[in-house]
Amino acid sequence: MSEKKTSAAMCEKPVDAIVTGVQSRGLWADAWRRFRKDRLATVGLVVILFLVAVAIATLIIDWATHNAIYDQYVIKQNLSMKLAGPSLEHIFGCDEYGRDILFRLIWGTRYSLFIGIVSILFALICGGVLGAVAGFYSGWIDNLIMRVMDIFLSIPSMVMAIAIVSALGTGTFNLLLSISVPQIPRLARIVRASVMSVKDREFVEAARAVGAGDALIIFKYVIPNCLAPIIVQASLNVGTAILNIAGLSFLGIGVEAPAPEWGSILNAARTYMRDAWHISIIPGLVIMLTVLSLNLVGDGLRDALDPKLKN
Amino acid sequence: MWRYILKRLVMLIPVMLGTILVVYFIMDLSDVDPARVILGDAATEETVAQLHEELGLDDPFLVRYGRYIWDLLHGDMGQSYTYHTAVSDQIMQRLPNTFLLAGTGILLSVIIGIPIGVLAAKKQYSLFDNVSMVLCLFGAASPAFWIGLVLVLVFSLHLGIFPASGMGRGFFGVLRSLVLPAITLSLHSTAMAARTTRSSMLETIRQDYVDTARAKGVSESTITVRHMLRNALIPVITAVGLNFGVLLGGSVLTETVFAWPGIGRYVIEAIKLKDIPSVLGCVVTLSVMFTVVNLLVDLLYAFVDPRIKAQYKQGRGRAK
Repeated sequence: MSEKKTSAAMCEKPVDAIVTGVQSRGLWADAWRRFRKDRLATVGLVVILFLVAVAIATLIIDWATHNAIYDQYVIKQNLSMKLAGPSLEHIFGCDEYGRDILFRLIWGTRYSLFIGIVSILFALICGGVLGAVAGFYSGWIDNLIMRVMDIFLSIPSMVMAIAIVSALGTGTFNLLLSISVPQIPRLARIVRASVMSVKDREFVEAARAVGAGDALIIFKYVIPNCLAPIIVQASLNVGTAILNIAGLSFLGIGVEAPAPEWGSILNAARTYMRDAWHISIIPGLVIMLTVLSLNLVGDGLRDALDPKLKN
Repeated sequence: MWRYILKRLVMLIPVMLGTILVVYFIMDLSDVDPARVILGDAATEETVAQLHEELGLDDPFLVRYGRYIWDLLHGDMGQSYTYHTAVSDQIMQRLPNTFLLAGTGILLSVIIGIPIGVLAAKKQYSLFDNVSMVLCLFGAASPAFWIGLVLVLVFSLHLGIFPASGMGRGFFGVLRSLVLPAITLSLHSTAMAARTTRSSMLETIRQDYVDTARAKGVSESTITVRHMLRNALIPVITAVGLNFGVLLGGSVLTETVFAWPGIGRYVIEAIKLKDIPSVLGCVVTLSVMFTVVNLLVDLLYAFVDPRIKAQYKQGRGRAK
């Protein structure tokens, strides 16, 4: 008798929990809950959100003051403070033209973040369409697209970026393109693989039976169901993009001077390393922390979206 | 197996033609007029047009591409605008230096990264595991050229142990000047190799055959190397192979930081001087290197994993 009671009680509770649980939490809410439990990933997310806020704030300040602060503190040269070390007034010291490094770092946030994010978004759209078409139709279209992607993949991304910049010239848009294009095949591969794993599932068949066209099936049923690995890969690629942007600017073929891009601050550091160590240390730390945070968010997303992988 | 290698070598041809086509197309977008660069600013329209005619610069794209491939097969990459010598000579002069740097970089990442990954996996959640994985996270997130700058700051300018730039003379001179650039270059792939080895090892470490081997009384070191590592190696080889591309791209930055006389530094100099044939030659060389390494990685799978080798043999049987 007591046995029966307990089993009934055991049954009741989980069923209740399961029903309410399913109704209140979808995949994304569930993933978010798991993500928040990951302390490192949460810290990474907070850092990234802070940097985005800083970048937006500087854009608003520039707009409101008609670049007055930008011109005065970020661009204007003050040779009396040339290579000045860290002090109370300039906590990170000054660069080779006497400009405050803290100001330049803050105003440089926009380049790394926005070019990094926009270039990956662009690559995601191009790679996504190519990968989805290849994965969905398979056959000769798949073969054609993926062989072309293979050819792109056999050029190292930084080398291709250098080739694009050297052909098109420097400038923000060309930089964006040079960072973005090498990432297209990488994202196309991921999208193709996940589309292929989804396209033969029952709900796709059901949609087709109802009479949905290919475009509707791809965009409404296939892509939403393979977003998880794509988001993870894209978030990790933003980190790579930021490193490549810094690298190109360091080589002097990225964002044009006097814009305060982080990598270009390091370019100057090389010349003055003997006299001013602080220029070479601090911008690198900022880049590292940004990329580290992005990688932590990416790892956290992977664990949150695909709990199977965690083990 | 040999038939498979031959097949892969034949398949390499279209990939290389395609790679060179992409690179040639990108460089063709440049608005630099070679004739004007060669003749200088003082040239008249007439002489420029004449040189265009001579060099065939106005021919259709595919004709010029075909000519480039034809010349390339004869070892001719065109004339450098700035050095006024053959680009292939300039590249052949620097190629061994880039090989030396990139090879040492890959070697370092393998002999440092894999043991770290193995130890971290065997002592999961230990202090060593935690510290090394945090270091790997930091290593993978730092710009390699920045690490190079910091190394120069510490080991050259303050301690004076290693030279800050250039390539030394003689065996020990070269070795001494190789240390900092090689460490800088290998940083990312070391971190990646360690992380991949660790996670791949963690999968094999709990397999039943490991318990079986232990029960048979096989020594722990033999189990680690023969039973765990060998089975965990495929993803590691993939990661190291893919990282070779990152490493080649990184060599451009590292060679610039350390003034290392390789292809990477040459390509940057050439870009600044708008020396298009040199840039093209360097990019083609680096891409071809990467393609060949990818092929070697694929072939290496067969030697590490008998299952893959068996597949090739099966494929051969079927072909017969």
